[in-house]
Amino acid sequence: MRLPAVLILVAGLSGTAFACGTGGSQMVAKEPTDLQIFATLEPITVSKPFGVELILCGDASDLTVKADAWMPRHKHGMNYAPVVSAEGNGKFNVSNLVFHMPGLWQVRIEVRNADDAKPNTYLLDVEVK
Amino acid sequence: MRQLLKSTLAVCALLLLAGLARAEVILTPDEIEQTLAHGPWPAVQAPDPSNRVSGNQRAINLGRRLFEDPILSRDGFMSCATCHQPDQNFTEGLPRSMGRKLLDRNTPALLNLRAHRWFGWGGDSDNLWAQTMLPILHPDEMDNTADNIKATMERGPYASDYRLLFGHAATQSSETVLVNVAKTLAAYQETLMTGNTSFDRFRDALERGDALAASSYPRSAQRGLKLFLGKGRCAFCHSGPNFTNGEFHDAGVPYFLGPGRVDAGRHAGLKTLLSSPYALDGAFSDDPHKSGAWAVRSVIPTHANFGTFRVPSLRRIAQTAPYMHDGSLADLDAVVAHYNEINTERLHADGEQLLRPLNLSSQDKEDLVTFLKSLSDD
Repeated sequence: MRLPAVLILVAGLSGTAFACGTGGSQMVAKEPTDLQIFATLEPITVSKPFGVELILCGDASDLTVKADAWMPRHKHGMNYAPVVSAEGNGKFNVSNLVFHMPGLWQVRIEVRNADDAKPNTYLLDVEVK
Repeated sequence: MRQLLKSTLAVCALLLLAGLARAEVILTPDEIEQTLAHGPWPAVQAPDPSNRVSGNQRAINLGRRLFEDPILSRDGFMSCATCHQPDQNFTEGLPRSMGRKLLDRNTPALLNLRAHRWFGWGGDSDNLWAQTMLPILHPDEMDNTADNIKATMERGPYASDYRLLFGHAATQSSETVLVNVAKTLAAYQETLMTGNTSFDRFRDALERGDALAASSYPRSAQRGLKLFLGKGRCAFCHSGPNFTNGEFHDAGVPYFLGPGRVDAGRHAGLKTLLSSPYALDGAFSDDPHKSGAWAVRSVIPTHANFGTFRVPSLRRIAQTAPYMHDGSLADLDAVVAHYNEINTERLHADGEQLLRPLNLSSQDKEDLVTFLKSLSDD
């Protein structure tokens, strides 16, 4: 019996983000918030796994972060569960993202406070050739 | 003065020729960019780290002989080559495979297999040697057992070849011997590669910016390529240098096999994969880093997998008829007609919204087939 890949990690190491706003694409938050996320994507080849580095700017302590991606025009997601690892200081690495088709993908990062059941979702559109 | 005039005329002629040639490439810059993603070919092929005899010439030679020898079946009834016939691009030419009885699926071509992440129409395996064991053991195919295979490798005509590669079979478990035999068969199958095609020469010429060379690719094939990339929506699944994304999709082909029987496709394949001791995260992989195991560890089973099948490569496609998982489409014209007039009622209601009738003209259909034919070695 294999366990499903770990999607969730709690970042309890530090609330101080670093290098905020100096690199990566800013993700769009669905709900108004002080927390900003900047994403730096590795080069993407269709059907090959790639990673994303996330920098959380703002109070990033005690957050749970999940990653997913979706093709809005085709109404399907990925076939693999990405793995999120907390690196500390508001930095997270997401690995094993696989976009198995060319076209428009939407990276979705869900962030949840330890004492807040309602998550906020951050979106980034990515066009894959 | 005369020499200068000659040179000037020559340059003008070249410029004119180049201009004419450029006019013969009818792709837009965006289509050219998409085309470049279907190469280069042949792809660089590294040995399989999960198979310690991958790329080993002695293993390749043994694998080739075993592939064609019915000694691997229980009673000498059939070999791997009975269905995967070398002179038919390792297919059988029949709609559905004929093992000890008529099987449910078409015999897939064994070409460019190192490029695969999943094997078999349902993706029952994440590596070639594990997939190779399935027909050896299947009661409707070679119907053998690990014990019999071990006895053959201990005392049969291949005992010395086996010993040189893996040591004495007598000192190994039956399961280990079976896996080792499968690894030699995999080492051989990995060598079955398709070659350069007129499409590849076109694609490489575009990459070099050589309009003159690119213009030798027939205009009909270029029109077909434009349809393949655009209106036909083919390249969503048939992507990359091997013309497949390696994943599983519902192509609108019925999966009912008869009263009370269905072919569950990827849904059943994932069950086999996730219960297999021979997956890349298992003890039989020779890769200490388990580098390919991320896929089996993170693949997401869903009910939408039901009735989906692995997207086949299109390389040498014109020579591997009939088509689809059940071999129900006899030729490329039938395949294009299937997608052109696709019955969306047959698609999963909650599945991806990708396929739709294409409204291709007769000329469009002819062009698409011309393009597909250009994916065979020539």
